[in-house]
Amino acid sequence: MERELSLWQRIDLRTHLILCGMCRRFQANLSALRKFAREVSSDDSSEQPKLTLDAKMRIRDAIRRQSG
Amino acid sequence: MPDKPIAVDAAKWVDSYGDALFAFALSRLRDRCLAEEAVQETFVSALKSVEQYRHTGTEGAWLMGILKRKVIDQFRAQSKQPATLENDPIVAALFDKRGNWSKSAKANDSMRLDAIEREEFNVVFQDCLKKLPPTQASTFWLREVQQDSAEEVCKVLGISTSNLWVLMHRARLALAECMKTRLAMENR
Repeated sequence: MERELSLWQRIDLRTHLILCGMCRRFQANLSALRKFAREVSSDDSSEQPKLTLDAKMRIRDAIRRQSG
Repeated sequence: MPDKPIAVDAAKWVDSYGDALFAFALSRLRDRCLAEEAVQETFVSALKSVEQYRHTGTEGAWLMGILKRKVIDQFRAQSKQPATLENDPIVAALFDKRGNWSKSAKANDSMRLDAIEREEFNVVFQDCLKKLPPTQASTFWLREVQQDSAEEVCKVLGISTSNLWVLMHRARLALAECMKTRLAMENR
């Protein structure tokens, strides 16, 4: 996930996954986690978050104090 | 009154740049209060260093640059102690001493994350993310949700590449386990 595996490491992993059912399901879960996580950010971007009016007032006050 | 090299109209900053800066801060920090604070500190710092601002870029880009540094400061304050490689409760719960799957991992094996609905995922995911140690949560969020490059995540969080791998690994294990447990409870 973080880096490419060498050819032998890949073969090793594949063979292991054929033999280990738990590892196969585990890998499927991690892939699902990754796939869904990437979709979370596309959900976010549909609606641009905005500062609340309260926050804007507070920030304007802070700017005014600083430029004093 | 000393001459200022560039006239900036700070009174208009909140209306012109407030929402864009806030959206960026929120996408990184995942907390409205922290994001508001970062935006406010950005404007205040900008006013203090207004003499250094030359027209090398747009005003918005200058402010965004300051905000990015504020976000980094915030992350580093969150994780004062560097991520360590010592024993992790999740790893200990999932694997036995010889590195094989533990009994509890086997017991929890029937729950599948790839079979759940998107909506259900989102709710459980957000909850479980909150339960992670902050650095793990930030690492996972920036890398997988925001899809920043590994180098970018390391820079922002002030961690090494090998630390990033460890943090990502632990975050994945912890999230998958937390989500499986939550879903199993709900489906009971």
